[in-house]
Amino acid sequence: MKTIAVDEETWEAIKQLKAKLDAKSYTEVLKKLIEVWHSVELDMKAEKVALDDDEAEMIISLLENSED
Amino acid sequence: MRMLPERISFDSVSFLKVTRKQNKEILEFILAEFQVYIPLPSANAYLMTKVLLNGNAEEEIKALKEVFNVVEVSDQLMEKMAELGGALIKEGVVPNFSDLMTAASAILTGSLLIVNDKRVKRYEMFSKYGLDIISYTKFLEEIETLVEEEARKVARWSV
Repeated sequence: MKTIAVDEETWEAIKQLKAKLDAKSYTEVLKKLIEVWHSVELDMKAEKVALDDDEAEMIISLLENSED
Repeated sequence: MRMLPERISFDSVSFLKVTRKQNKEILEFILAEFQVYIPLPSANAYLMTKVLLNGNAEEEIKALKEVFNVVEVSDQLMEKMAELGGALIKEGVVPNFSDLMTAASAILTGSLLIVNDKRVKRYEMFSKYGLDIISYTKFLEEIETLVEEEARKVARWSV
């Protein structure tokens, strides 16, 4: 097991989160936070590179027709 | 059992298809599960579409590189393209430049190339030089299976 130090404000926030999540340990709280962070990061990445459906279809059609 | 390797890359049309807004959730899953390599012809097709939509090319390149591994021009890539192109010309086939760069990029990065269904045949000529390909439709079917497996795992953990 490893120990990490946090300031008072973070400690209060993480205690509240542990209660809300009904988590058995702070490890569980941190794992959940990491999982959510990954999920949010993926959502942001996918949003960043998303193409408008109609315009993408138009270019796809042009590429398919020009290369066949 | 997972049939797909960790490294994948996309040809231009399949990359445009997978980055459409309607596929956002699929793309999130792909980004979580795979190392994605983008050959320059695919990056170019994507960036042309973004610029067509009034995007700023410089900013879009930055965003693209933050999310994907763009396979840039290097001595190794030029070497692979020359070897592949030379071997095909010996066989009497002159490959299209974009196809050659896409195939060489996938071979160089050791990634499975996802190819638009209509172009599978065109890429088959690279198979004997080490290119692994899968059609876009077949890839989506495999992804669907993986998503179902992951959902089952999550359901088991939450019991």
